[in-house]
Amino acid sequence: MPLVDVMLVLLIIFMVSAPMMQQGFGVRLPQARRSQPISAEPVYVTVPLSFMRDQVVLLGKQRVGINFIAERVAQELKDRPSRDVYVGGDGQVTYQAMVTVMDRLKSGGVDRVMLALAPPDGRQDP
Amino acid sequence: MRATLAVTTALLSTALVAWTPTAETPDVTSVPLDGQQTEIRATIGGSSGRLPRLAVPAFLVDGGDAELREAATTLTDVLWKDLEFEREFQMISQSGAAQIPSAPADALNYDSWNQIGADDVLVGNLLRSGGNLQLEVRVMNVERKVGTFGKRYTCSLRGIRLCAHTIADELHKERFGLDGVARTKFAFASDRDGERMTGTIEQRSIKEIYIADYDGKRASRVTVRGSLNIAPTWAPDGRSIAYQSHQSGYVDIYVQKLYEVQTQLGRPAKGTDRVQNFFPAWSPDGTRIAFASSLEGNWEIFVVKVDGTDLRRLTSHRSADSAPAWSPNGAQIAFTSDRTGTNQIYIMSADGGPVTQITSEPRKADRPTWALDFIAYSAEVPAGVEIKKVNVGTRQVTQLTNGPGTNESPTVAPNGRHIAFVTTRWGKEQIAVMDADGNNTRQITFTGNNRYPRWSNR
Repeated sequence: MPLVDVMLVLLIIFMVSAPMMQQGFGVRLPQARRSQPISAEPVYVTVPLSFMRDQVVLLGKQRVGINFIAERVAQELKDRPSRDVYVGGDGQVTYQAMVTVMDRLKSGGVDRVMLALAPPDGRQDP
Repeated sequence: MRATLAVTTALLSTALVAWTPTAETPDVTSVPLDGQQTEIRATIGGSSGRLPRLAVPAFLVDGGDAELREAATTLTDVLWKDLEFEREFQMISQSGAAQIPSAPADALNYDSWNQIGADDVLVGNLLRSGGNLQLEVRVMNVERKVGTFGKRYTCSLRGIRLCAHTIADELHKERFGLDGVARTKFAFASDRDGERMTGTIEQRSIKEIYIADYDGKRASRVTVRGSLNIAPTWAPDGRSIAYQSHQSGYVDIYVQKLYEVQTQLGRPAKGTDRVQNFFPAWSPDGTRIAFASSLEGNWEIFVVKVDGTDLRRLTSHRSADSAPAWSPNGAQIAFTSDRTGTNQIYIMSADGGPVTQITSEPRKADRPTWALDFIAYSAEVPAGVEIKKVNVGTRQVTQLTNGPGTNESPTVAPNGRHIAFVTTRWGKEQIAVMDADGNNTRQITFTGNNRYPRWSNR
């Protein structure tokens, strides 16, 4: 497994208070084969408690095995100006599990990992 | 009798040394496989406007001797690069695809391919069949778990790269209606074999004509003339080239068949010690060659039939006219002229007549090449030389390169989507290929100096 201190040098970790829910109106946009992906939309990776058992994370809403996450994130970051990824983990997930996920993200070309946290006492950000 | 035989042998061997034909790779044949749901092809693929993501896992090998396994590796690798080149698919990386064990089309682990993001998986199965190789290729749609492309290819072991190129072209054609360029070639001039002229005052570097696949691989030498040979141009059928040679001491145009032994090369422009002929350009219909000549004292554009008959002068101006290039339909010719004081690009009818100035470069424009609705050319700029293109209709100019090094001598792929050019950005003169919008530049020659790339028509 990767050494933790090396990981801290390689990864710039930001802790952000980010709503992990993607909300909005259901709009079906017209399709064009050559259109560019919406680059502002961030990439979310969620590490559920079940990761400890099945090594599967969520990319957006899709279940993706840990072995495939580097390739998937590399695809998602293609043509995006920002190479940042938001990662949220269940509070019960071990530190080792989070480091494993971040290690894979790094090999997928992620520059910065944003750690998503909930605000205290159930308060919501504006 | 013995003497005659010896002389004949000597003559024959001289001819063979001078004009040994290039070894021609046997054709790749293909037949469709059953069970492909081709009718849904148009409706599947990338959602939300992105390109369809395609995985090409390592081809399966039946039997599995080392030679066959190596062929499978080469096939997978070349095919992946061919498919990536046209950017119609977003290719799943080979290291990513290697996370999922290869399996036959009827036993694909669709859940894993879905997790890695593949919309389609190209499955190949390679086996020996007589002296040849037989390859079954299927493209399976991950969401619907059905085949959308399926063909059986018969290839030779020696022609394994051509086999991959053929698959890429046929998949691009069936899926997108696109004429891919994986089977096209380059002709170019190179000093890669390192000979130097001896016994001349000039001691110029020898350049010979080479051809190579569009990716720079399988390069083979066409001329063995020990002199300066440059500016090749393809016959539209891809089986002959014309080029400019300094072999005889003066500059003339030679026509050479690539795959046949010839005892004598064609010299349609019939140069002499007083008449020099430069920059041949083969017409799209294959019948004529345009070139620049000093036949009447001044540099003018001429056109002649490939057999050397029907020579006609097209321009008549006291300035120097040079570097002709045919329009894709053969109706017009672009060329350079310094009639305004600086070298600019002009166009005229292929029969001559009035000329129209196309570029107004502050310094000078050179080496036009015409594809679709645009002419690509080299333009002198304060920092050096860069590739530009001008829309023939709107005259809108786009600069495609911006250093480093000089960038010149463009040639456009037959589908108009890629431009090859000569650059000094890696040290020596090397041929690079970029997309027609100037993106995705990659190096395709690596040894010696390589100049005058010319993309084949097919």
